[in-house]
Amino acid sequence: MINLPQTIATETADAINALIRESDRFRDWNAPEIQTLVRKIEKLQKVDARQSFVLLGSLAAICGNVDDMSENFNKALHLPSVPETTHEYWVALANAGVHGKAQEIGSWLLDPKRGFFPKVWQQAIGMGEVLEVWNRWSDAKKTYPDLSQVDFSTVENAAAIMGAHGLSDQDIASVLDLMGEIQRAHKIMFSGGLVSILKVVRPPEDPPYLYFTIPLDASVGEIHAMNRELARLVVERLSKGAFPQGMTASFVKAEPVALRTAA
Amino acid sequence: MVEPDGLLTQAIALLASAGNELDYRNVIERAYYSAYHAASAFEEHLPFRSKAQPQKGTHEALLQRLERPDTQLDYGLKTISKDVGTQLRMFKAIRELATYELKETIGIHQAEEAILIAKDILAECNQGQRKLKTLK
Repeated sequence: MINLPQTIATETADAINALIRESDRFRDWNAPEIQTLVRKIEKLQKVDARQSFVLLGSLAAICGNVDDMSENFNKALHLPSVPETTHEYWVALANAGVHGKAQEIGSWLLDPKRGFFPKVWQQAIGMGEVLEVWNRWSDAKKTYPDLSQVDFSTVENAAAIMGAHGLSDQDIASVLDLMGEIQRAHKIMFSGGLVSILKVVRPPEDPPYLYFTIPLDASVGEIHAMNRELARLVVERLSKGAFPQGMTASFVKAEPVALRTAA
Repeated sequence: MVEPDGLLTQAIALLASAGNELDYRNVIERAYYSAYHAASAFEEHLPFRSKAQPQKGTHEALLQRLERPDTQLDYGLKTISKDVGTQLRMFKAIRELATYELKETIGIHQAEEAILIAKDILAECNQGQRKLKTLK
């Protein structure tokens, strides 16, 4: 899960980040620990309305309440500090597993002149914006020379494979959105710092393809059940009743939170 | 002669005594091939076979035929075909990491899930084969 950006460094933001670090499970909006935070945030409203809406939206995201998340962020976006709010909304969308919408916002954030590229590009790839990142890479390196040191070969290879298959970022988001829906139903957020891990697989006899995995802190049985649901939803919901050409995806078991913290 | 069930039984036995990464990789490979052969046998028996013609690779070819079944096919068989194709595509990625990507860490969890996936695919293919018999 992604911690709230540092731009909202308050006691309440710290409390939300503590919840994120503590467990990868989506929370229950009506749980006492959440409602205590909601009351604190509501008191903030008269002092700093933007921050209040951002915090409520972020909290709704880790409860898997997509509508409440969007409603609060849309209110915050009407107030000053739009770039920061946009970044915070993008983080909340990632945490909630809403990738198609996150890609719309991500395209704006990835424009190097906005100032967010270095802190969002890796996460953007995990959210399926491979071509968007690749297309911005050359300009981003000019703006942020330190990026020249980064090994970008996976993204370059992935972009070439996407071109060969006619695979788009939106195609990837269509699959990741199904996975987000399953995660919210099972109340399990992604584990670790990235929404998904991209691998380029090159089998000797078949064409290369992209493999996205979402790590989960869950039992093998539950992960298998979620992968079965993913297969069913791919058949039922995607336009051709199959994974888009050139990619596949699945949930995988991650190390438990406690082990990751200790490591 | 060996049946897909036999490969799965062997994968389960291998997992019971597995103690290192090489064993887990072998479990995944054996379980994958049980699913692959069951899916292949099911697809070969379909009364109308898909015309999907991928550029290369027998595994990719099978996946595409399963995912894009012939439109004349019975609705239930079409659904089974697509579902098996989608599950097998997800399984293929796990198997290809286990077989070809030696730098990847493969653990017991992937091996355990491979058995569960293979069981599901075999069960679905058996259901498809039973449906095929009723149509004859």
